[in-house]
Amino acid sequence: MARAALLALVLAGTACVTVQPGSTPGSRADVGPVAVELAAVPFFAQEVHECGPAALAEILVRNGVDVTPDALSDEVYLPGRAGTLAPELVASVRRHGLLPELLPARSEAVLHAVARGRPVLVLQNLGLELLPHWHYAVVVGYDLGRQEVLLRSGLEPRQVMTLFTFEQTWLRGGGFALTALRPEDLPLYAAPTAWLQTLADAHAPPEVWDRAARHWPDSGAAAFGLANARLAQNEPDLRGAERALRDAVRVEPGFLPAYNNLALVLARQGNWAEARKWIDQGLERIGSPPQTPAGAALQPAFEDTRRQIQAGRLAPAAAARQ
Amino acid sequence: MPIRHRSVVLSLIISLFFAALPMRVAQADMIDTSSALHWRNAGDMRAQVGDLLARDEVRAALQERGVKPEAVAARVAALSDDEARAMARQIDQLPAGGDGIIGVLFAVFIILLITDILGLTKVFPFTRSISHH
Repeated sequence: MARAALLALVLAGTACVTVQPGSTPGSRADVGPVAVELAAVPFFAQEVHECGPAALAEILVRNGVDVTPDALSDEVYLPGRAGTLAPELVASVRRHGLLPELLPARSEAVLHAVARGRPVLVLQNLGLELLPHWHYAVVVGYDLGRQEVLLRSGLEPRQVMTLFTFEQTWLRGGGFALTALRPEDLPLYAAPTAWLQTLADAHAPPEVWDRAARHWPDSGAAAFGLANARLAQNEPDLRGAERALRDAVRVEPGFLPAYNNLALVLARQGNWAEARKWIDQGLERIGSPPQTPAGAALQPAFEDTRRQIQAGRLAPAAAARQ
Repeated sequence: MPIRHRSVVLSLIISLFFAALPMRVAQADMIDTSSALHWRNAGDMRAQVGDLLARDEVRAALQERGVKPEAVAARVAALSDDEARAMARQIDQLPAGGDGIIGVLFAVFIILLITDILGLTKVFPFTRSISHH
């Protein structure tokens, strides 16, 4: 089975299909060029047990973050476990102003990311299931002709590993694969909701939300997030938020949270009549009694908003959080 | 153990306190983006109450596991809700990249040597697997 897949990979490799920007490959034929090496990714030799901070530093510095494994140790190393846990690596990527994308656990996804210039931090179980030897390394290249991947790993700046062994050790480790994106980059694999959650977790600025909203023009959630990001600025952009929320209800009329926020943004600008119209539309869509549990969960907030609009007076802290 | 025990008490207090709160929407507030992303999942209410507990648990757990006190708060704050829940639930079960194999027995050494050579594992720096050309 694995051998057949490898053979397919060799054959696919020789075809050398170039990947178009934004496409997500479904098979190895679409990975990218036959051989890639991201030589510019720095190498940090790890201290004992500190492969996590070293690997993290490699993908951060590659993206222009000025940081050392030593400094990252305080952010991700867990002395009591003599190692680093994956959720803290993801969180640390955000702490440094980058956006984490977790790749699906398929080796072609890792190779494709590398082909697109994104080194991939992977968790390997270099030992056996019963005798695990957990290790973080960074995939910086591959050669489909030679069936090899290149890693920055431990004390080895350029470890050559067969694709077979890489897949064995990486999938045995659960297939964790992390890339760090600059805010202007779009994810290769993440589904819209997952990526929008990443932007929310990172408190991304309006420009980044704007790009996501244009990338997923049918997503009410993307436009909604853009509106909140515009409101979260030091000088809240009410007009901009209003525009984004009007987009949200237009492109996805079933995205109910947008009705509440649109009504509030209009009310904050003194447009009480239209505010009333939108909150009523929202309540109508929720239904009375609510048609769905999700609608029922929103109803109290909507009714509260409606009461305020009807009273012509908003509670003081109607500010958005992301 | 003490973490478990405290979490039960805390969860009682907090769930009573939040029992009347339908979503993470303060009065007269805009709906925040994270809540909106999950609004179709009505079970979120419980998850969000859980977040507060999770962060408390992670804070204590990191400190108990040797993280410098001055670094703990920033580490907890950096976690997303999902990450905080994962850490709270599994801080001792999640694989800790960095572990070594300590006190490997001779038999185990031989097994790993063989699996290394077969290319199934890569424990020893000096092995070269036969799957290599």
